[in-house]
Amino acid sequence: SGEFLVIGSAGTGKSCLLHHFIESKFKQDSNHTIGVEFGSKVVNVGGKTVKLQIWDTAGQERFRSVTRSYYRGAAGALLVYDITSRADVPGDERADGRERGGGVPEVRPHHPQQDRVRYRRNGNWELGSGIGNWDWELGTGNWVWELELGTGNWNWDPGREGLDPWESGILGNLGIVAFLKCTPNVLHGIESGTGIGNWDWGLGIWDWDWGLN
Amino acid sequence: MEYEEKTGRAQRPLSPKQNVRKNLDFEPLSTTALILEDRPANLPAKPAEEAQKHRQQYEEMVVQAKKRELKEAQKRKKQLEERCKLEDSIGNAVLTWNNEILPNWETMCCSRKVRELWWQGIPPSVRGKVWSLAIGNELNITHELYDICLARAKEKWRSLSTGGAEVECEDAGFSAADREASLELIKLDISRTFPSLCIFQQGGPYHDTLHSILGAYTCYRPDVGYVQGMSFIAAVLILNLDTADAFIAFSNLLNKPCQMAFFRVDHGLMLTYFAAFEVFFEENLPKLFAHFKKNNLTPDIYLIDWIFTLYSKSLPLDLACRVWDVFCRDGEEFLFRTALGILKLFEDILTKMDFIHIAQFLTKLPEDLPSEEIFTSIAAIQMQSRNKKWAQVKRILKKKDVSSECGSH
Repeated sequence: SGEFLVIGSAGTGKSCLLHHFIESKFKQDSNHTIGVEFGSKVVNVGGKTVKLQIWDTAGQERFRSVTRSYYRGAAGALLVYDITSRADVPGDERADGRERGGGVPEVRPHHPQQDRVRYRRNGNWELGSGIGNWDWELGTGNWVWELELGTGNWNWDPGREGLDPWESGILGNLGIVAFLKCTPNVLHGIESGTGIGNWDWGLGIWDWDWGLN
Repeated sequence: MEYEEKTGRAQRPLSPKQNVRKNLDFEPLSTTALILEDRPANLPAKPAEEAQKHRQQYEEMVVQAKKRELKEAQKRKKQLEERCKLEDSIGNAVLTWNNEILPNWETMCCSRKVRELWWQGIPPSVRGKVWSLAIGNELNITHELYDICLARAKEKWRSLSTGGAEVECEDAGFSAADREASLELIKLDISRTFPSLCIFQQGGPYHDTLHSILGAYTCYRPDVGYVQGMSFIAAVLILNLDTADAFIAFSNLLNKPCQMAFFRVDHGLMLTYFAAFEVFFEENLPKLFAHFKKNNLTPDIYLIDWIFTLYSKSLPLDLACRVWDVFCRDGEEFLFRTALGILKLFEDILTKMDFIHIAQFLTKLPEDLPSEEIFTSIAAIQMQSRNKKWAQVKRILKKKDVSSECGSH
């Protein structure tokens, strides 16, 4: 089995994403995660069965020191962030002007229906700037996938253009795609017994303060 | 009154029927639907022998049905009696708390009789008062101080929403961005605090109260700020106390050493707590302890959520309040004792699980936890290890930790 982390800022929808991945259902009322919660799912990749152990972590920066201690054993990670929050997008500058470590080398928004998806933030419907996924080719030849998914508790407007992103499977599939795309990576890590290589560079991707510590 | 009159009228037309059955001890239900009918007139009549047999079978069926109904009626009666008894005992407890204990708090709070009554659970109507008294007000917070902190919080929100100049705030080491983020996070988390109760969410009756208490606290303790988990604690207090008193209890509660260690995410101290917990874990549940060790299941995985929210997120609310009751009586060690009680209750199934299933189980406990069984299980946990109590074990571990740190430098 492979240990897999879900990380990202508070309110980006980590637990909702995980819930949807495992139950194939949308979660209506969700508490915020304190510490870490767990999910597991058996997936089939390239004819091989992999049991994913998913660690769903707390989002608040204050908990970073706790969640960081879980990086060590992980074979992969999914970073979830809020596309509407500038401060949340990796590679963007911090509100106080310090630049974050890591960053997005290349952005390739690819979903054809991206601008039709709206999300609700603080009770108001807004138009999303798009669903995209980024891939990083890292020095080691491994891939880490990230997925951006609107905001916190996902309340999607089903009436909009007759399209419910959940019903239509756009989001659901994307969520699952993100996990599956990670899985060869996980598999590789399990087979070689190394996880995704060296977590020093791993930290460079999602721990935005790493350069400061 | 009006309701009674209405129902009285509604019952009257039924009375003739009731008269018919008044010789019965109970109201038969399904037997009334069992009616033996002869064959329809267009068919040949049953032979006498068959009719006799059917009558006999019919009578047996009726007897069985009556028996079953009587049993059910008795069960219902018993349930009702138990409920009345429970209500009576709650009523009596309220009287004892209000008339005997609360007026003489200082002298009575530690007596054996009170401690025993306390363990049974504090009646909801006096719960807030008892919690307030037990938590105390070491910080000497007044209602006026709460108003001042709240006013400052409101000023900050205003300046944030208008994008105006940063309000000066004497805090220690947190950047403006962090503080802004924490104010945003409060807003986000309020709607994610007991969402199923629908009272803390936007538009709900306690939304603003929860917002105010958390905001006031960030102004009162900018060095601690808002940390996830706090909203659950504040919410439980709001359900039992008036706003300013809830703030006083909240601030004093968070000021306790265990809560400070966790909410400041002081890793060293948290590890000391986990290590002390493991000492008692091994002592009380050696088999399960070994199983957890074998599976690399460290206590942080389940304890962080339990300690940060004082069980209010992981246990059903009424059960969580009972844990709070005794936590107010016994202090931090009861939080860890409760954890061991939960582990003990589920020891058999946990011993059969692997890492991920244990982790999933403990971070999402079953919803229908039986509160009496949990408390019986907690009562069976000994908070003594080789003649050492919780505080002593913790002190020794803390010393060890400090000396090993000195050694490594």
